[in-house]
Amino acid sequence: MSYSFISPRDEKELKEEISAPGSFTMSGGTDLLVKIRMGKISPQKIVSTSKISTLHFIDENDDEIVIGSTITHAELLEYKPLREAFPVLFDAIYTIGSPQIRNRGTLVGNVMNASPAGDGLLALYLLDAKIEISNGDAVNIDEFVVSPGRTILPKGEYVKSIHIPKSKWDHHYFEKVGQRNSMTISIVSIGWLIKCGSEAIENLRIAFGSVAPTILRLKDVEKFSKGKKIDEKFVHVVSDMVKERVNPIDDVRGSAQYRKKLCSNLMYRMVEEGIKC
Amino acid sequence: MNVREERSVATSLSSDKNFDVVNTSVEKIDGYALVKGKPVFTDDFDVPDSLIVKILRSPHAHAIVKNVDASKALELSGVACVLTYKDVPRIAFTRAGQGYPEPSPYDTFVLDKKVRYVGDAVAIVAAESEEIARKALKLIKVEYDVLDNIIDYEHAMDENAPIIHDESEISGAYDPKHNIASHYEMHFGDVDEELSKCDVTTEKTFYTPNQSHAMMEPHAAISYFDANGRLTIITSTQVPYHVRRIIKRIFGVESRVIKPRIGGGFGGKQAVHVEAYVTAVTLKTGRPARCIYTRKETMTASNTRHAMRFKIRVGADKDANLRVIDMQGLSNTGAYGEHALTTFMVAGSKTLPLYNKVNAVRFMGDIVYTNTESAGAFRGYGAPQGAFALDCALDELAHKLGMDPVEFKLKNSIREGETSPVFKVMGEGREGVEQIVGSCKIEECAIEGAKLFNWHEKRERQRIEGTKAHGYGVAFAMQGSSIPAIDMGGATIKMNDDGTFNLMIGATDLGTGSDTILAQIAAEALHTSVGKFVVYSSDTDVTPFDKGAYASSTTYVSGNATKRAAERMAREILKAASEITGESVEKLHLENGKVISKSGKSLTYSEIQTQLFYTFKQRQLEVTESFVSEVSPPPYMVTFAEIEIDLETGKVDVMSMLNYVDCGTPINPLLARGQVEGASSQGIGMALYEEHIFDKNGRMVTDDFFTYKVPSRDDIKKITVKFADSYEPTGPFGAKSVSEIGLDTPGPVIANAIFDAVGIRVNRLPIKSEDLYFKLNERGLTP
Ligand SMILES: Cc1cc2nc3c(=O)[nH]c(=O)nc-3n(C[C@H](O)[C@H](O)[C@H](O)COP(=O)(O)OP(=O)(O)OC[C@H]3O[C@@H](n4cnc5c(N)ncnc54)[C@H](O)[C@@H]3O)c2cc1C
Repeated sequence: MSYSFISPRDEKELKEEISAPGSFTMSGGTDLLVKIRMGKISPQKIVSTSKISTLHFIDENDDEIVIGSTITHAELLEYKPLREAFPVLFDAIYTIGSPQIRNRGTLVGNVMNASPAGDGLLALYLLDAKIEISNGDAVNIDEFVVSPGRTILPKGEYVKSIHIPKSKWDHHYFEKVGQRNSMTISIVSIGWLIKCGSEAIENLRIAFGSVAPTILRLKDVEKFSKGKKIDEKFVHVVSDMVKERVNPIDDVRGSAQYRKKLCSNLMYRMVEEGIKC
Repeated sequence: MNVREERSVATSLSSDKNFDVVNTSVEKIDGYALVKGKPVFTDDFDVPDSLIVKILRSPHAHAIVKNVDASKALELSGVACVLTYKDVPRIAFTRAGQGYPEPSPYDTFVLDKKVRYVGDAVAIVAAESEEIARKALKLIKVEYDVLDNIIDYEHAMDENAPIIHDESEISGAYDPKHNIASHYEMHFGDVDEELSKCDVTTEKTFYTPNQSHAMMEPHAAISYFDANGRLTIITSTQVPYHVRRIIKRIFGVESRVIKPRIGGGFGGKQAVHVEAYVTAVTLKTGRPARCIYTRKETMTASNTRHAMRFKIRVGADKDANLRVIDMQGLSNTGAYGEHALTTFMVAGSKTLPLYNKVNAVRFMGDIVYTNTESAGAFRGYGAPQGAFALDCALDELAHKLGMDPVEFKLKNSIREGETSPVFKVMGEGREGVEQIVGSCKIEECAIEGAKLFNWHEKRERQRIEGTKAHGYGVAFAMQGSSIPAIDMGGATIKMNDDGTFNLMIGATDLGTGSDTILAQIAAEALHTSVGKFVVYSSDTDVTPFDKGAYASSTTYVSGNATKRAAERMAREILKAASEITGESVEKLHLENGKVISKSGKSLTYSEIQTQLFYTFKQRQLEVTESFVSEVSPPPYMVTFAEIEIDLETGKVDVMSMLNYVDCGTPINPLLARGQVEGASSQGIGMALYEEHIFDKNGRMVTDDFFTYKVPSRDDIKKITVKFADSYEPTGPFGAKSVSEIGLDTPGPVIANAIFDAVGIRVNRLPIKSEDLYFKLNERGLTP
C-alpha cells in the first residue's frame, strides 16, 4: 500500500491531477482514509482539495446558501445563519461523529460517500439541495446519488459546491436511532420538515436513512399529508404507509423487521413533539 | 429492620485517621507528562536497528497447519526471518500471568501445528520495516486442513464436538477430551432440601457476554540484547515478573523485563502476549525486535472477558430470610484456558460471601474450550458475571416477597465482625482463607445511598408516561483486596542527600495512579510530601518483586509493602539522627521532612543523609520490605440507577447512577473516584453496547471501534460516587481495593431497573434495543 499525496493550489491543477487513473479526491479524508485502511480501495494518488481557496467559501443570497466543497462540518455549525435558515441540516450535522470528525469531515464528502446512513445527506434530501459539478452541471441530490457509495459524478470531475434553496418551515425534526448515543452508525434515521397552513399541513417532507440503498424521501406520503391535520389518526395512517414503503435489510446493527417497526414508530414523534397543525 | 425508617448510620472517625498526605487528592505524578505527550509508552522507546515483527494469523477457527511455505517471503529483500512452529521450543505453557505454579492449564505453545481460533498465530515474521513485514506476510503460503469448530460455548460439550486440545503435552486441564478446561464444585448444606423448605424461590438462567478490554494502548513489546548480552524486554505488561518467569520457561533464557508507563490494561495485560514473539526473533537473529499490535490484533487475538451462563436458584422464607443459593455455571475460556478456573471461582467467591446468612450454598460448573479468542483476566475477573445472576435473582425474590430490594438485600448481607464459610472454601484456584470481616459499611452504603438517590420517593413515581418508561434499580456488590496467602509485593526506599527518596516498586501502574498513591502512602509514613518521592516502577533488574497489577491488590498489597518500607526507613532515620545528635530515639520524632527533638533541635533528611554519605558513620539508608496478606478484605458497594426506556425504539438510557462505596480509606479520593467511574462505564458498556459478533466461520466482525461500541461520554450521563466512612484495620492507612468493584453492579442494576420500569426480566447482556423492543411489543407496551 503506497500512494502519492498531492495538494493542488488551484482548481485547474486539481482537474489535471484527478484525471490520472487511480487518483482519488480527498476533502477531510474521514471516509477515504478509513476505506484505504480497510483495503476497500487502493489509490495510486490522493489529491487533497484542502489548499484550494476557491473551494473554501460559504455564500448566501436571498434564494440560497452555497457551500464550498472544503467547508467542514465544524465550520458549518459555526456559521450562524445556517442554524437559522436550515435547522434540520444543523441538527443532522451536529450528530456526525465526534468533534474530531466534524473538524475534518465535509458535507461534500458526506454526499460523495453516498451512504444510506449519511446524516448530512438526509438533510440535503429534505432540503432539495443541488450539487454543482466542475463541468458546470447542477444536479438534484436525489439524482446525483445512485446507490451505496455511487454517484453520477463523471470521472475526472469534482464537486465544487452544494446549493441549498431557502425555504420556510414551521417544524423540523431529525433523529437517529442507534444502540449508542454518539459516534454511532444509526440503525434508522429520520428527518422531516413541516409547514402548517391555517388548520392543516400545507407542506410536509419526510426522509429516512438506513432503510434503502439510498436516503429515502417518501414523496407519496408527502403528497398524502397535504391538507391533513396532525393528530393520532393521521399519524396512525402515515405510520402504516411508512411501514409499507421502507425496504430495509438485516444486518449486524438491526433486523429488517426492527427497522420497519422503528420507522413507523418514529412517526409518532410528530404527536409527541406537540406539533399542532 | 426497615430501611424506610428515619435513621442514619453512625459514623465514627478512627483516631488513626488524621492524615496529612493520605486521603487527599494530590495530582497524579505522571499526569503532566501524559497530557504533554511525553514519550512514556513502550512504542515510544527507540531501540536502534530494530526488526519489525508481524504475526501471520489463522483465517480458520480450527485447522491443522499442514505446510508453511515461506520461501517467497524469505526471498524478499529486508526479511530477516520467518519462524514457524518448527523454529520455536515446543514447551507447553499458559499465557496467564499468575503466581507460580499457575492454576491455569499448560495448553499453549508459542506457535503450534494446530490453530484454534481465527487469529491464532501461525508464523512470526521479522523484517527491516513494517512495509516489508506486511508484504512478507502476504507471500507466505499456508496449507490448512480445516477441522470442524465450536463457536457457541453452549455446544462445547456436545457428543460429537471436535476436540480442541488433543496435544499430548497438555497438563493441568480437567478433561480436554471433552473440551473441559476446568471444573469446579463446592457446596455446604443441602441446596435441594433447603429450596424445598423455602416459601418463595426463583430459578433463572443468566448470560453475560465476552467483552474487549479496549485499552487505549495496544499490546506492545521490544526485545534486545544489552551490551553484555543480557536479554532485555520492554513491554506493556501488568505482570513483569511473571513475564520474566514464563519467558524463562519457554526459551530457557534469563531476562530483564522493563515495564514503562502502560496505557491501560484492565486485565488484558495480565498475560504474555507479544513478549514471546519478539524474544523468539531476538534469540534467532541476535537483533532487537519490536512488535506493536494493531487494534484488530488487540481486539481479536489477545484476550476477552469469559462469557458465562449461570443457572441460579435462590430461596427465602416468608420472613425474607435468604436461605439458599445454588449457582450452576458454564464459562467460555475460548481457545486456551487462561484464567479459566480462577475467573469462574471468583464468580462465586466474590459474590456469595456477601449473603452469609444462608443455610446452603452450591456453586459448580465447567469452563469449556471453544474456537474463539482466548478469554483471560478482565477487571472484575468473574465477579461481574456472578453478580449479574445473583443480584438479579435476589431482586426477583424481593419482588416476589413484595419487599423493597434494598431492604431485602441489606437484611441478608454480611456485617462487620462476621464471616462466611465461602471465604475458607473458595480461594484462587484452590482453598481460600478464613477471615473475619474487619470493615464493612454496607449499611451506610445502602441506607445513606437510598436517601441520596431519593430511592423511596422515586419508587412512588409513575413508571410509564407516554412513550417513555422510567425504572429504578439497586445492586449490591463486593470484591476482594488481593489474593491472600499467595500474592506478594515488595517495595524499596532509598534516601538521597538532597532530601528525596527513591521509591522502587514492582507494582505496575497501568493508569490507575498506583505510582501516585504509593508515594502518598510512603510520604505519610515518612512525614514528608509526595514531591519528595521519585517513583520507579517496574524493572525486574532494579525494583523488588511484585506479583503485578491484578486482583485488586496494588493498594492493599503493594501499599502495605510500601508502608512497611517507609516505616522502617523512618526508624532508620530516627536511629541515624539519634547517633548524630546524641539524643535518644524516644526524644525524637519526624515532622515535615525533618527530625525534631524535644530539645527543639532539628535536622533535615537532607542533612542526615549528607552526613551519612561523607562525614559520619557512612552508609546509604535503604530498606526493602515485602507484604503478603493473610486475608483479602472485600470492599463493598451499593449502586442505585435510574434508567429511561424509549418504548418506541426499545433504547435504554442510564440517566443517573449512584455508587456508594466502602473501600476503606480512599488513599486519593479523586483517583479512587476515577476508578469507580471508569469501572461503571465499562460495566455500562458490557450491559448495553459491547458485543462480539462472529461470522459463520468464527471470525470476529466487531474487530475495531467502528463496530465494537464502548460507551461514549453521551452514554454515561451522570455517575455519582460517594465513599463510606470506613477504615480497614489490615489495610495501609485503612485502605481496601477500589479498582474492580465498580464493574460488578452496572449489569444487574440496569436489568433490575428495566424490570422495575416495565416488568420485563432481562437475562442476557448486552441488552440490545431491538430485543427489548420486541419484548415490550409482546407485552403491548409499544405504540
Ligand atoms: C469515527 C467516524 C464517525 C463518523 N460518523 C458519521 C456520522 O455520524 N454520520 C455520517 O453521516 N457520517 C459519519 N462518518 C463518515 C464521514 O465522516 C462523513 O461522511 C464525512 O462527511 C465525510 O467527509 P470527508 O470530507 O471526510 O470525506 P472524504 O473522506 O475526504 O471523502 C469521501 C468521498 O468523497 C470523495 N470526495 C471528497 N471530496 C470530493 C470532491 N470535492 N469532489 C468529488 N469527490 C470528492 C472522496 O474521493 C471519497 O470518495 C464518520 C466517520 C468516522 C471516521
